[in-house]
This record gives sequence, C-alpha cells and structure tokens, in this order.
Amino acid sequence: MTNLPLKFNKIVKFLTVFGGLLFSAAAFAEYRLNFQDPVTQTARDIFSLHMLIFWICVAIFVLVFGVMFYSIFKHRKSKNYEPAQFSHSTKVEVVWTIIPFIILVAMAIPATQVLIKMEDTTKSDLTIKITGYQWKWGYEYLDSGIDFYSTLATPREQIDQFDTERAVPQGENYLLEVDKHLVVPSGRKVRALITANDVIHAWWIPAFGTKKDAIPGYINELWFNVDEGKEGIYRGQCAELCGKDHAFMPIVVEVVTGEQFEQWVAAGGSFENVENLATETEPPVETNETALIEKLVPAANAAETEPETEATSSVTYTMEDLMATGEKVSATCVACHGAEGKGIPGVFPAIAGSAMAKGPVEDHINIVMYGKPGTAMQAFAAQLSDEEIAAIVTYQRNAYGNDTGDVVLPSDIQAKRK
Amino acid sequence: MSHAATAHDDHHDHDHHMPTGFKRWFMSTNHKDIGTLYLIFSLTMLFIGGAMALVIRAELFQPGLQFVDPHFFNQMTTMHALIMVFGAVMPGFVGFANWMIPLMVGAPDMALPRMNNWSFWILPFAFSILLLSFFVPGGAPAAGWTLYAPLTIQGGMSVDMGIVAIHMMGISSIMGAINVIVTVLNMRAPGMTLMKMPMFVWTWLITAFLLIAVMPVFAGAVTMLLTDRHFGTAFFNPAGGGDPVLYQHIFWFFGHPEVYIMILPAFGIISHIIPTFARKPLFGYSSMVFATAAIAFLSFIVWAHHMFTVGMPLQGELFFMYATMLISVPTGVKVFNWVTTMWRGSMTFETPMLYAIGVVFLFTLGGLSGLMLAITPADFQYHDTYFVVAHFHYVLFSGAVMAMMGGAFYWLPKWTGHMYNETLGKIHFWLTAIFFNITFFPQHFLGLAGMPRRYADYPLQFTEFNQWSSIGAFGLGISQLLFVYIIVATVRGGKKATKEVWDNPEGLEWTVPSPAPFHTFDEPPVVK
Amino acid sequence: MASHTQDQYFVPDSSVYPFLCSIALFCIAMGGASYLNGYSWGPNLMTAGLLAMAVMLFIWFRTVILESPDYNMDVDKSFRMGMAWFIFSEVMFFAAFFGALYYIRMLAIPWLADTEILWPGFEATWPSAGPLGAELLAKGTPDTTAIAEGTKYSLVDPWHLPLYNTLILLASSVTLTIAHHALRANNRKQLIIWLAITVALGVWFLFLQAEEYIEAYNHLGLTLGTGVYGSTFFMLTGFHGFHVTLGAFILFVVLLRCMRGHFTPERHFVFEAGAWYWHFVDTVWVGLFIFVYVL
Ligand code: HEA
Ligand code: HEA
Ligand code: HEC
Ligand code: CUA
Ligand SMILES: [Cu+2]
Repeated sequence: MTNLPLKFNKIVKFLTVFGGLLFSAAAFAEYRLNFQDPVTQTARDIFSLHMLIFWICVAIFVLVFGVMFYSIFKHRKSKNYEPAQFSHSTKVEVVWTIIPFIILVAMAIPATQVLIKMEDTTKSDLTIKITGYQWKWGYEYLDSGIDFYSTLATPREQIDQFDTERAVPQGENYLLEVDKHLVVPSGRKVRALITANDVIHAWWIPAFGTKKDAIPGYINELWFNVDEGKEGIYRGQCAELCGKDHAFMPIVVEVVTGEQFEQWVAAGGSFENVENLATETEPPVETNETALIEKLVPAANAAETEPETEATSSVTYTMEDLMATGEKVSATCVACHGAEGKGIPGVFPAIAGSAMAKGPVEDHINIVMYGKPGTAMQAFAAQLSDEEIAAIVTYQRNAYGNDTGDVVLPSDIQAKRK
Repeated sequence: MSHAATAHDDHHDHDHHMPTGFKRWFMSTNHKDIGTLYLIFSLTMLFIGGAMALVIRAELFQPGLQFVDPHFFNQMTTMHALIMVFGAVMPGFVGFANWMIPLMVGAPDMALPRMNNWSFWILPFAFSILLLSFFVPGGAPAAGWTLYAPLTIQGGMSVDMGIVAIHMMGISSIMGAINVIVTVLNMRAPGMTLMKMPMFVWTWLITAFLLIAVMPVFAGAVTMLLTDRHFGTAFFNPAGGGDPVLYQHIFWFFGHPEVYIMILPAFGIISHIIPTFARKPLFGYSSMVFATAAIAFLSFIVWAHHMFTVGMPLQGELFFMYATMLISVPTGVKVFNWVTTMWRGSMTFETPMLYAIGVVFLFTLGGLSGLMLAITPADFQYHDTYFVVAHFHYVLFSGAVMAMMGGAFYWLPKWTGHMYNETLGKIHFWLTAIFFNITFFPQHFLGLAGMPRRYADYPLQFTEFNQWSSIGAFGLGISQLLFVYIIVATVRGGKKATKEVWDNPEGLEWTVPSPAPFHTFDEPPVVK
Repeated sequence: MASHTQDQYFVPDSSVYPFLCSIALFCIAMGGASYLNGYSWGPNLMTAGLLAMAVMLFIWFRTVILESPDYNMDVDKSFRMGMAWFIFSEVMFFAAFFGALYYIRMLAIPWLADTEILWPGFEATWPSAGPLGAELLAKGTPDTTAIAEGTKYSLVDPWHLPLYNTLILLASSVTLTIAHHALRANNRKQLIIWLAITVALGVWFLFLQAEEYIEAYNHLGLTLGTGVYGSTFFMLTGFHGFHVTLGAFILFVVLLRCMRGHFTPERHFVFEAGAWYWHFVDTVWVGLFIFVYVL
C-alpha cells in the first residue's frame, strides 16, 4: 500500500508477516485459513487492509474481554465480593464513545485509499466483455473479436454421488475446471465489462481481488493487472445465487505473458503456436462433449480438411448423425430440462411429451433460437452453431418418446438467422 | 397519563375465571396467553428451520451431491432463512414483548388485546402458506431469503405463495408493533416516566418503530415482484427501463433495519439479566437508551453495505462504508456498559447469566466480523462467501437466539411458577455454546479461503472445515432437544418459585407472584 | 366475562373474530396465489375469503361500536395512537414506490443509456418505456437488437383530469374540516351535509380517475406494461386510488353513523381516524401530482 502513511505501512507489514506465520503454521496444512495468495497489487492491498482491520479487531476483542473475564474471576459472589453500587459516569461514557470513533477513522483512511485505487478503470490495455448465463460464462475480447463460452468441465459422474456404487472419485480441480479458459496477459491492465443475460451472477477471482455482480441489462466494470512472473491458472466461482446450478459455473483464467497472449490472439484464440508456456499452465480441459462434437458434426472440421464439403448446405446429414450430436450437445439443455427430458415441474417444462416439441417445428426452433423473454429459457442462437441447434431440435423431437420423426437441418436454422 | 378514574359502567360482572380450551387459546385477549402462543410458535419454527439447516449441513458434509439436488438445496437455504428470521426470531421476541412489557410497565394487558390476538393468529396461517409451497410444482421458493429479482421472476407458483405469506407476516408484525408502541406510550403505571422504563421496554419501543417503518417497504418490494411476475410491469426488467438492483435497494432498506429488529430486543434482555446476577444496577442507563436510538437511526442509512459489489458509484460506496462503520460506536457503548455493569459486581453464574455472558462475548465477535465486512474493498472479497454466513450466525444465533434462551431461563420461573433444573440449564448452555462455535467458527475460514455461500457443492479444498461445521450443526440441533425437555419439565413441575425468583432483582415483574396471575395489576402500581 | 379488571383499564372479552379473520386472510392469500397461477378454484377461494373478511370486520367493528360507551379516554387515546402509527406505516409503503420512481428516473435510466454495447441508440429521457419498450416486450420479440425508437404512447396531460382531481381532493379536505368543526360545535345538520359533500367529492375523484385510466388504455397506449413509466405511473396512482376508495368508504360509514346520531362533540375517534386517513390520502395525491404528472 504505497500511499499509506508510513506508520501504517510498518504496522501492516509487521502484522501481515506475523499473521502469515500464524496462519500458515504446518499444523494447518490442509486447512486454508486465510485469503488465497494475491497475485495483483489490488489483491495485495486488500489483503493488507484485511489484516490491518483484523488485528485491530482482535486487539479490541482481547482488551474488552480481558476486562470482562478479569471481572468474572475477581468479582464473584463466591469470593464474597461486595457489589459496588455505581451506575453511571459521564466521563467514561464520553471516553468510550470517542476512542472507538478515532479507531474507526484510522480504519477508514486506508480503506478509502484502496477503494479509490480499485475504482479507477481508466488507462486499460485490453477490454473483455464478460456475460453471465445460466450456467456458463461468455467471454468476448472487444479488441480482437475473439469470443467463446466457458462451461463447467467436471463430469457429472463425479458430482452425482447419490448412488455410491456409480460415483466416481473427484478430481483435483473438482468444480473448478472449465472447457475453455479465459486467457489474459500478465503485466497489463485488463478491463472487464460485466453483464448478464438472464439473472444476476458475480464474477470472482479471489487471487485477483476482484468481484463484481453481472447484472442483466447493465454493465459493470472491473479491472485487474496480474503481476509479471505470476503467470499460471487462477480459479474462481460464481458468487451470486443464480438458480439451480449456481455452484457449477466456475471461472478459470489462464494468465500468460504479453508475448504469448499476442500469439494467442493472432492465432484466433488458440494455443497451438504459442511457445514457452509456463510450466503450471495446462491445456484447457477438453470434455468428452467437445471432442464428440468435433467428431460428429461434419461441418466443424470438414470444411477445412475435405474440399468436397465446402458449403454447409452440401453436407448430407442423416438422422443418426443429428441424433447422436443432439444427444451430446443438449448437455446445455439438460441443465434445466433434465437428462430424461422431464424438467422440473413448475420451473422448467418437460421436453418429453411437450406440446412444443411435438407441435410445429417452427415454434420449437424459435424458442431455442430466441428463448422466451422473462423466463430462464434463453436465446441460444448466438451460443450454438446451426448444426448444433439443428441437432438439438431433431434430438428433442425424436428422443424422450417424442418420436415425431422430424429432421431439422442446419440449413433450416441458417435460413432463420437474420 | 391520566389514570383518574373515569365513569365506570357497572353492568360488567367481576369474576376472574380463566377461560379454558378453545376459548382460552384461540380467542384470547390475554397478553400472557398470547405471549405463550408466540413463544411456542417460535420454538416450533426454530425446529422446522433448524431441520432445514441440518439438511443443508448434511449435504455439505462432503463434496459431491449425496442427499439432495441443487434445486432442493436452494429451497432449503431459502426456507431455512425465511423461517428462522420471520418465524423463529421475530415472533419469539414478540412473545417476550407480550409477556413482559405489560408486567414491566404495570399495565393490565396490551393496549389493543383483540388486535394482539389477530397479530398472532395470522402467523400460523402465513407459515402454512409458506410451507405448503413445498408441495406445489417446482417446490418452495429457491432464490435465497433475499428473493432477488430477476431470479424470483423465473420461479414458479411458490414465489407467489412466498410473497402473499410475507404480506401476511408484515400485517402481523405491523399490528404487533403498533400494539407495543401504544402500550408503552399509553399504559405505563403512574410515575413511570420514559427514562425510568426498563431497558427491555425501551429496546422494544424502538424496535417497534423500526418494524412499522420498514415492513411496509418490504411489502412494497415484494408487491413490485408480484406485478413484474404477473402484470407486465417492468420495475426490475432492464428491457422496460427497470433495474434489478432497484429491488436490492428496496429490500435492504428493509433488510438492514430488520437485522436490528432481531437484535435490539436481545440487547434489552441482556440488560436485565446482567444487573440481576451482578447485583448491581445497569451501568449507564441513559447512554444505553441513546445508543439504542442511535443504532436505530443509523440502521436506515447503511443498507447498501449489502450491495458493495453491484457496482455503485464510488461516492455511494464511501458513504455506506462510513455510515456502517459508525454503528460500531453505539453498539460498542452497549458492550462497554454491560462489561462495566459486571465490573465490581458480586456475580453468580446461573444459567441466564451464562447465556448473557455468552451472548455479549459471541455477539461482539460477530459484530467485529460485521465491521470487517463494512470495509468496502475487503468486502469485495468477503461478499457472498461463508465469511458472511459466519458473521450473521454469530449475531443471529449467538446474539438473538441465545439471548432468547437466556431470557427464557430468566423468566421461566415467573411464567410457570416453577424453578427449572439448574444443572440441566447449565449443561444446555455449554452444549449450545460449544457446538455453536464448532458449527460456525470454521465458516470464517471457509469464507476467507473462498467458499461462496448458497452452494450445494464445493471444491475439495473446503472439505475439512465443512465437516467440522456439519458435525457441529448436528450437535447443536440435538442439544436443543434438551432445551425443550427443560421447558416441558419446568411447566409440569419443579421447585416452587418465589415472587422474586432471583436475589433482589429490579423491576415490577418481580413484585407479582410466580406464576404471574392471569390478570396482573388490578390496581396500577405506583413507581417512585 | 367482564372486561374491566379494574376501574381504569378496559380489557375486552375473549373473541373469536381474530381467529376467523386470520382464516379469511389465509383464503384471500392462498386463493390469490392460486388464481395467478391458473388454478380454477383460486378465484373462488379468494372471493370467499374476501367475503368472510368483510363480514368479520363488519361484526368486529360493530362490537367495538357497541362497546364504545364503555371505553374511557385511555382506550380512546390508544385507538388514536394506533391509527396514527398505522398511517405512518402507509406512508412508508408509498415511500417505497416514490423511492422506486426516483431511483429509476434519476439513476437507472441514465445508466441504461450509458451501456451502449447492450442498448445502442437508447437515450435517457423521462418518461421512458426502456430500451425495448412495452410493445416489443409484450410480443416477446426475438430480435433483441431491434431498438424501439420509443414505443408509441402518449402521456396523461396533467393540466386536465389530474388538475381537476387535485382541486377535488383539496376541496374535500376543506369540506371534511368544516364537517369536523360542525361536529365539535354539535351542529348535526351541517356535519351531515359537509361530510356527505366530502364523500361525494371522493367518489367524483374516483370517477375521474377511472376515466383517466380508460383514456390511457384505450387512446394513449399507456398501460401497466408500458415499460417502467407505465409501471410507476399505474402502481402509484393505482395504490392511491385504492386508498381513496378505502377512505371514501370509511367516511361513508362515518356518515351513516352520524346520521344515526353517533359521536359526541368530545368523543368521535372514528370520525377523526377517517379524517386523518383522508388527509393522508390527499397529501399523497399532492405528491403524485407533482412527481408523477407534472415533473
Ligand atoms: C442480528 C443481526 C445482525 C447484526 C446485529 C449485524 C450487525 C452488523 N453487521 Fe451484519 N448482517 C446480518 C445480520 C446482522 N448484522 C445478516 C443476516 C447479514 C447477511 C444478509 C444476507 O446477505 O443474507 C449481514 C451482512 C452484513 C454485511 C454484508 C456482507 C456482504 O454480504 O458482503 C455487512 C457489511 O457491512 C454487515 C455489517 C454489519 C455491521 C458493521 C454490524 C454492526 O452492527 C456490528 C457492531 C458491533 C460491534 C462492532 C461489536 C461491538 C463493539 C465494540 C466492542 C466497540 C469497539 C469496536 C470498534 C471501535 C471497532 N453485515
Ligand atoms: C435467526 C436466524 C437463523 C438461525 C437461528 C440459523 C440457524 C442455523 N443456520 Fe442459518 N441462515 C440464516 C439465519 C439463521 N440460521 C440466514 C438468514 C441464512 C441466509 C440464507 C440465504 O442465503 O438466503 C442462513 C443460511 C445458513 C447456511 C448457508 C446456506 C447456504 O449458503 O447455502 C447454513 C449452512 O451451514 C446455515 C446453517 C445453520 C445452522 C446449522 C443453524 C443452527 O443454529 C440451527 C440449530 C437448531 C436446530 C438444528 C434445531 C432443530 C433441532 C432438531 C430439528 C432436532 C434435531 C434432531 C436430531 C438431529 C435427531 N444457515
Ligand atoms: C436456464 C434454464 C434453461 C436452459 C439451459 C434451457 N432451457 Fe428450455 N426452457 C426453460 C424454461 C424456464 C422454459 C419455459 C419457458 C416458458 O415459461 O414458457 C423452457 C422452454 C423450452 C421449450 C418449450 C417447452 C414447452 O413445452 O413449452 C423448449 C422446446 C426448450 N425450452 C428447449 C431448450 C433447448 C433445446 C435448450 C438447450 C439448447 C434449452 N431449452 C435450454 C429453461 C431452460
Ligand atoms: Cu451464476 Cu451463480
Ligand atoms: Cu446490514
């Protein structure tokens, strides 16, 4: 905390070191007692401020209850202590009103300084728009146009432990892994514009010292600047109740050097050609899901590799292809509508036997592409490709006992865009 | 106040029979019976809400989903809090108010006895609606007790049931509060000036004012939710020019005073117990009164400290930070006064005193973590984590609920005419205090290390402390069975209590026999 | 059982009304919630609850009226205080809606206009139906990028019906005060005339308000769903109108009681309670007129 009065700095440093020792004692090895290690100046400022306030509180606590327990041990009837009868003293009342007030002023000064620094979002090097969805995060690099969604990658089998027989042991980054990382450079001021699509979420990376609500219709700002030399993976979680899967929309940020970041941007958001990634960095988790999509959706890879399928429209899709893809891709939908398409009555309608999934195709495609305002059913047109939407709709119309026999082609979806 | 006898029509007979059965319990106009009903209701709700807490803790014992799915988990969190706040704590204190305020100010009953009964009877029906919402499609409300839009806009029928139930609770609270204010201002015995009133009466007077000021605001907020859900209004819908954050502002304008509604009467109870067992008058009576009033005043201008992360302008954040921090000053005055009341007293440590000391100690701990939360930049880290959960259980459970337990032991002999079993009482205190700390102390660490609240499942590094917490919660729950046992046993029998019960306690309630007769103060007592 | 435990205090008999009223309230609330969610029995339950409540309150108040000769001045004072605090709670209820209006208008709309990535072209003006406005919302239009250049609605002209309504309500407060003076002077005839005029003015107000609503819905395109302007406009004026209805009803009952010769120049709590309520409703209207219509 550079611009704190000198004395504060010293006190804070001492206390932080002392506190750090206390809290990282070996006995507490697997019990984390305090903030995650900060990797930005902001997070360090917050940490010092937190420790400063903490120790002041401890001091007050010890003092007040030191007096109380002294009294409890000394002034008891069993020791035949005769009660005094005094009952007021304006002098002490004034004293113990003023002293706490002074202590509060002493706390408010550094707090104000840190806050003013945090709220200064000017002079940023890079802007990312972050959008919260039920239940995933959308990232858009406003400077380079790269955009993608980031979804929980922990397999369902690790989470559902209802049936101990089928349960799988949880991995190291259980609930803290996503399919696509947010990639940012170290040593640069990254400004984030945060909003949401449906309900309020909050984007939080503890190690960066940033937390901001993502509010539908409004844009919040935050910034962080990760220290050079602290490249690596940082994990956070959604911090505002956003419905059923609030606990299942983590945030993973991969911090790389500025150079690597530029290469990453140049490659259109791919690490393929990026060199010298820090040892801690790891490739984003590839879920079965993404892998399967690439295999099953011809257009996804085919367009580049095989010359004869240049245009999407010339690919032939069989019902089987679409159904298989649909089953995989509709993992997005399953979050609400349930694995067996039964939904949750009264909250999320069933797809199985749904009038919409068995009625006119048009309506079905519409609701998937454009959602239904004011409900949790969001617009998927921007999130999913034509192939995916076609596959999902086909799947929903034929799975779960809906058996309409309808096949929806990506070209149908393409036609509806715009 | 003029108590000069006015003309008295003599067509009323003067028998003092106590009604029985339906007439006594459903049609009562007697403050003691209504108080008893409130207290029983509150205890019942504590158990229902507690059972839900145990579901939460069972699910959080290990990472992964073992017992309930996340949607049901959210219902548990929401309903646990709604039931505890509106079903256990608030009615509990109204029960104390009903029983004690007329006794303490020397009135024969509450000022508006029939309305008093109505205030009570609305509650069981309101909570029936709330609990019935488990059985409608989609289950109970699941958006947290704060019912934030737009998540509540998405919910099913249960949200509407929750809203109408809240309207009913609001009607009940407002009527209850009006009754308290009118009783205190209009029914005091001759000679009892405002500055001679017992502290509990003072704290309730101010609490009642807070209730009347903020319950309608809450009603307004949920009404807007209702019309947004069903009548096409756009208060919280940005597409129509509204703002989801508007809901939060209105809610917390209610919500923050609400937390003091839940703690001020507790302060009142503590201010009675400590002097009795320190055998020394309450230190700094008038500064206690002013501190209470100051807390109430400040509580109206700090609400946005629950919303530091919504992206307020800097000036707003600073204002709410400073205002929030200021509340520590009057609260500190109270703590210091209690400690000074003990200072050079001649203390004994019967169960109520143990509770009082426990409350002062643990509440202050929770208050200090509240002060940490008030520091805006640091709150960005604490907000919506278990650090907050730890904070408010320290002030709510070890503040409000334990104060009620202490108060119950303190006045139980007056209510029932029997002494409770002192040994069991002490055991109950120690079990509660110890298990409480096992449950909630580790949650501070969980929060600091980054565990968000309202999570049905969590990453592996939070496992150990969650296990501590869950074990503590079950211990805490089971310990409360002892509480019920002690109460039932005391109602049914035990050593006869004297009029004064304790060693020379202060207050009019100790001048009437134990149990307090059905009608007290046939003649207004004179206070010197 | 007798109510007086001693000379100074009045404690009423046990009474079943509160319990029955609670059941009625339960039916209203539960019926209402079911109604909103499409259960066919909802409206029936709600109507039954409302009827039961009306009957219960009628009986309850009747009992109180019959008892009132027994009340001493302390009871009277308790009632007065109770009414005053009840009105305070109503003030706070309206405060929530006025606060919402202030917040939306002064803060939220400008912020929305600042977020250009989300709502290109939306400008902060008041009144505003928001970036998408009511029509688009109602249609659930899929194309969220299509920004309405302000949906088609017009405002109620404050200098016509609302102005008349302001004058009517202000006048009614005056006539009510005249009636009160007449009551104090024990001038029955004057009392009844002026009170009747007051009630008539209240009804006239409601009539004009209804006309204004019909006009707004049918010709101005201004509805409850016209974005946030429609929301604040109708909720504030609507709740006010509801309170006027209630106030007029109370005064009407008071009028009937006056005609029956109730109340004395010294003791007329209900009259005063009704009058306070009426003045409160009047004051709220002045606030509405300024903040909702004129500014
Ligand atoms: C009884 C209930 C109660 C009480 C009394 C308090 C008391 C206080 N609370 Fe708490 N609070 C809650 C119930 C309560 N709170 C609840 C339920 C929530 C969460 C709601 C939700 O989100 O669901 C919450 C959340 C909450 C937050 C929001 C956290 C977040 O979500 O990010 C904040 C932030 O400022 C806060 C602050 C405070 C402060 C400063 C006090 C102060 O009043 C405390 C004052 C007391 C002391 C400071 C101790 C004694 C004083 C001394 C010994 C004097 C010397 C001290 C000094 C000079 C420092 N509280
Ligand atoms: C006065 C209020 C009050 C009280 C008394 C309590 C009491 C308890 N609370 Fe409460 N709690 C809140 C108010 C309160 N809480 C609020 C406002 C929230 C926020 C909700 C939200 O986020 O929206 C919350 C949230 C909350 C959470 C966080 C949930 C989440 O974020 O998802 C947790 C988790 O541990 C918890 C636990 C407990 C426990 C273990 C108790 C215990 O103290 C309860 C102890 C009592 C019993 C358990 C009695 C019951 C006894 C039995 C049923 C018999 C038991 C029998 C056997 C075990 C055989 N509470
Ligand atoms: C965040 C929750 C959520 C997700 C994710 C979701 N839906 Fe929905 N869906 C809803 C809700 C809520 C509705 C009900 C809307 C209403 O009130 O009519 C709905 C309605 C539907 C309907 C109409 C059902 C009927 O009978 O009315 C279809 C079809 C549908 N969704 C398909 C999908 C598809 C396909 C996906 C994935 C690409 C998906 N949903 C993802 C919440 C969701
Ligand atoms: Cu998104 Cu919680
Ligand atoms: Cu608060």
